Amino acid sequence: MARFVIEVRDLHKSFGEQHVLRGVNLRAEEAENLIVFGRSGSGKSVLLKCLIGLMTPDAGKALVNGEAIYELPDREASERLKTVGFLYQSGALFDSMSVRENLEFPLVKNFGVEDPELTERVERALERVSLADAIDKTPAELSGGMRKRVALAREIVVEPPVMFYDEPTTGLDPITSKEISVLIRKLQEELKMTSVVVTHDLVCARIVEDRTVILRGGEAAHEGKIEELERMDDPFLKNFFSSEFHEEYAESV
Amino acid sequence: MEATPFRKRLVSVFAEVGGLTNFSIRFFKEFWRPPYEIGEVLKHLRELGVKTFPIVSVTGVIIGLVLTIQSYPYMAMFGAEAFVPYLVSISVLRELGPVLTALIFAGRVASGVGAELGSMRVTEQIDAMETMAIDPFHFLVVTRVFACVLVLPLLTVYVVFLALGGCYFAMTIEQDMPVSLFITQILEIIDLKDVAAGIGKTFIFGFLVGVVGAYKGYHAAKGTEGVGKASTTSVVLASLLILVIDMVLVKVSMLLWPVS
Repeated sequence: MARFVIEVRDLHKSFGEQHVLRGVNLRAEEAENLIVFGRSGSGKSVLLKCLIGLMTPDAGKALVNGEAIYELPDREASERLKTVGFLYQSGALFDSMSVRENLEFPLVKNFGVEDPELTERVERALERVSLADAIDKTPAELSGGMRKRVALAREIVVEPPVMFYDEPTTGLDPITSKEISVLIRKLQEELKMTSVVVTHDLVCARIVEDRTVILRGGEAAHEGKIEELERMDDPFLKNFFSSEFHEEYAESV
Repeated sequence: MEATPFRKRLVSVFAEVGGLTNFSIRFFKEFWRPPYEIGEVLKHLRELGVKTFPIVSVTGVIIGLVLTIQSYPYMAMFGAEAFVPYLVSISVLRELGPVLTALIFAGRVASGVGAELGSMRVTEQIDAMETMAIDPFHFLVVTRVFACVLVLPLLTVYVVFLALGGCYFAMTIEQDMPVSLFITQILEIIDLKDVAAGIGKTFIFGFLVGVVGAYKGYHAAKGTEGVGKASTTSVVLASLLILVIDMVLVKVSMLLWPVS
């Protein structure tokens, strides 16, 4: 029987009168790449924040390896988070640190890794994202795509078994966006991480997906491969997958 | 019943006081908890010192010069010009040095800490630290506040010395005065209780500057406007608290060490 690393059961979350999540159910198996696809404001990021314990749901469960991180005492929650990667929309690199220091930070603080292993792991992670040359640069010296790659390297440097991506291609041009998507796919294949990728970029979703869930009206309304979802006879999905809709999105990017 | 603007303002003031108090209590709880980020504290000490060194240097010399130049003619009217070094050293050590240094420090550092942490909040760097299982409060706030507590007394001592230097320079313009006589006069009047009252309160001022800047930045609202607001309100609140707390501390020091 498949083991579910990520499991969301009947998840509800509201902000005042605004009901963002209204009973979301989804699951991701070990080493699976699950895409959570939906329009802006559909609650994708809120779902991720509940999974990593930055937000507490109003009802339901958001489980990682069978545990709700937001319900754990601080110390235990911290222990669980050490084995979870989270790529922020902005990359969230530490501006005051160089690329090397950004990557060393979680290894030193959480695992007490020291040289020569420290340097070796940092260099290996940067090679994986093809940015070995940028090791001594500061985030301010990097382009948007490079920042995203470094942020990705900072997450995979600890080789987490579970990885969450919050809009990994937002703010990037279509070519860089495709490169990042291919990189995510490649890393997942190499490291066998269980990943949840929240996005509204169809190109990214097609490249990265093992399976896709579409959030609609605060629920996981549709599930399957994008190819299958595109063939469904549903006006919302037809519109969602229409080329005009995604061309508009690409132009806005 | 709809809340009036005054009522809303009052509620927000109480919320601010409560928030700042909780933040300060959290600092004292977290301060004792390992890991002790000594490297970070030293880094902030260097940064804060470098940031404020030039401006406090100028301030120190000018305080001494101006006080002497202004008080000398009045003291001379009573034939008491020889007491000018007494007057300047006591005012600089007990009040002007600590308070002016703290206010300048608030202007430079509270705004800097507020803007830095505010920008980290807005760009999700603080959230990123949390999801990495690294306590951002411990790493970012405790180290900065502690560095402020350590660096302000050092800067104040430096300012006091410069002000006395300025005083000596102004005295030599007015009259021929050997350095040894100037130093002897100062040592005659300055007591350990003056040092305790003057320098002691700078530890508290340093804490206020650090904690207000960190509080405002750590809780900055999203967006660039939030960062700007965190930076400006940090300076205003820190300066105000320095003046209010100084008033209390002056009274306390007078009770503890009455002028004999």
